[in-house]
Amino acid sequence: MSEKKRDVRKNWYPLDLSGTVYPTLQRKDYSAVFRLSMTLDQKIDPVLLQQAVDQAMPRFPTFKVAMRKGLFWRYLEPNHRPGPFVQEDIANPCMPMSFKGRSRYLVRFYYYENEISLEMFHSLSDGNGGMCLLKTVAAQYLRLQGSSVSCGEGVMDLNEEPDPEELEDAYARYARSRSRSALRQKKAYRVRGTREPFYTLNVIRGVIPVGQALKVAKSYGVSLTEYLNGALIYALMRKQKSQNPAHQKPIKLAMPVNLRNLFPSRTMRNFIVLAYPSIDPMLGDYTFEEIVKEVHNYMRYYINPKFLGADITTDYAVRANPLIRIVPLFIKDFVVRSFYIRVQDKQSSAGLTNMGIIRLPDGLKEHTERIDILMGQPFSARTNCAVVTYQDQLSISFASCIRETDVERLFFTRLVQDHIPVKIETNRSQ
Amino acid sequence: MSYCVNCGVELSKELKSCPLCHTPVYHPEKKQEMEAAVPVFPRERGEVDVVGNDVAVLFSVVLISTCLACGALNLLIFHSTLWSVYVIGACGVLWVASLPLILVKKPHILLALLADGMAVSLYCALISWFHPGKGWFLEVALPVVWLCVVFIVFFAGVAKKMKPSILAKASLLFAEAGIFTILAELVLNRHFAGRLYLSWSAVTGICCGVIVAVLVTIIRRSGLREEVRRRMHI
Repeated sequence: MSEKKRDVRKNWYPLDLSGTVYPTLQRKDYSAVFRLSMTLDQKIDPVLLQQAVDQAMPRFPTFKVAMRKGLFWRYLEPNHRPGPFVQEDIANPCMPMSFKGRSRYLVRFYYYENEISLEMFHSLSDGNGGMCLLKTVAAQYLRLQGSSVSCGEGVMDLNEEPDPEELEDAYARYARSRSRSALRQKKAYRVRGTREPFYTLNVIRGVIPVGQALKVAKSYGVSLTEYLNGALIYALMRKQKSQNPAHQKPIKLAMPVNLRNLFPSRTMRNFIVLAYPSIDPMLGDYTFEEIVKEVHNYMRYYINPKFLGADITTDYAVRANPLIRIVPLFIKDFVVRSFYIRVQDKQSSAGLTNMGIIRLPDGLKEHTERIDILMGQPFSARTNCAVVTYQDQLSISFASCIRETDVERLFFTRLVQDHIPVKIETNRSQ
Repeated sequence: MSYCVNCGVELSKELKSCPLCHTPVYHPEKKQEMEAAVPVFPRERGEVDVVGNDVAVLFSVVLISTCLACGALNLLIFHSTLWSVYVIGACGVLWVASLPLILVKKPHILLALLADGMAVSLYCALISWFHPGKGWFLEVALPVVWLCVVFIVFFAGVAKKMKPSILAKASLLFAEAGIFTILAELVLNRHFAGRLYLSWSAVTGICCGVIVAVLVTIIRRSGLREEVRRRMHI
């Protein structure tokens, strides 16, 4: 038996808890794909970038995989096909990713001017794992150019074997709570808009100085994430008020929380859980200050190992239930998709993720000008917001598949009202 | 650098209007600079790899081989009647009906339904060629098939354009079913008995009418609607 075949038979990976959901939502015009970009101080050489990708990918065995279907669950198996190949960047990022595409890789690498972008199917990893891969590829690219880049801060040593902890499903380790949380929540307001045709993902990005944003957040007595959450809820509240002032629904954001900060793990795979900061306009009119305080109180109360541990345990218990495990995959797909469409998707008005501050090791830091993140195509017609901070720049990217830009406009003008200078970039055709 | 006079945000160099509020950017002195600026995002659009639909190929091969095998058997061994024509026709109808499932790019639902109606009509025409009877094709088959197509097209159109609730869809479905049974019986009685009258379809029509009345009442009364939603939730 060849080495490759032996590797495929031996080293397959069951999907982690979050990763199980995304393939069931796959449509011809939708895949759960997110994008991370790194802008360097020089124009990208595609030949060198390809070499860097080829050298870096084997260090990440859970990313060099293809998605396969079993009788009861999907799984990831090592992919020894040539690739992934770097491509020139395109105007419509986060395109659907077919599991049966030419090379079957679930990652894509793009280059454009000074920018390297990584797109990844969410079943492989969350933003944290994806960022490690992007940093490692960028570091290797610079090394091939003759720079000296040290390892650490997410840049992996390519000569080192992956730690088993990097490959683990960390949910399984921490699903130990004695309590269970509710699976179902109240329905939230959903932005209605004109759906763009297939192959269109509208991106509006605002770049703001971190120092100024922090100062403003501090003046409200909240963190930057809480302030941005508040601004987005405020934008959605105003949008709803203009659309349907008589019967207003709760406004809720789906906010992925990085569990590595609460449950120590070095996993490269998904390890996030959703929190839902919200307000209910039927209780009365909220001022911006009240919204920010509400978000602040919710975060302080809810984001702790006890509550989030109960959330993980609830989700994990469903997956570990023997009766559910023996149900054939096609029935599970149908049930999970129906549950997602009827319940999960309706319980948030928009998504907001904050990757926090990105730190880079010496050698890479000097050559990196900016880092951006894009949450990818939303499942339903709405908008998603992703935030990342690198050095003195805060990048806020909205991705939406609707034509209207009201939410983005209300969000950024709220920041401008607080004297935060915003620079806008877009891929929308003018 | 340019700023939007409406939103107050700074705009990247190449933008000709504010992406947030669509206010045009006008700076007569920097027109050339704007046009020469490298766009922040690429302008070329990408497309996903078209993946061959294995199921479509398999399904087509099964139908074609069935047609060929039946045709050969009919010609060489069991040649007393032209029975294979019925099988080949049925395979054709099946293939047309499954087109939306097997094509990579889904056809418009209206076109798909019209193609289905056409395929079934042609199959009936084929049968009537061998068994003309008393003109059943023109008087029964064609009207019933196209009545059915019109009702399905109407339902699909309403469901797609107006996006009604499940209850509204159900009431439309029952209303259409009631009307269809009445019209179908009228067509059948006109052909077989030579006159227009109603018998069994009056019962189905009334049942459908009662169901529609109940559903419409539930839709119109919010208290009842919530009660049904609460008791029937899954």
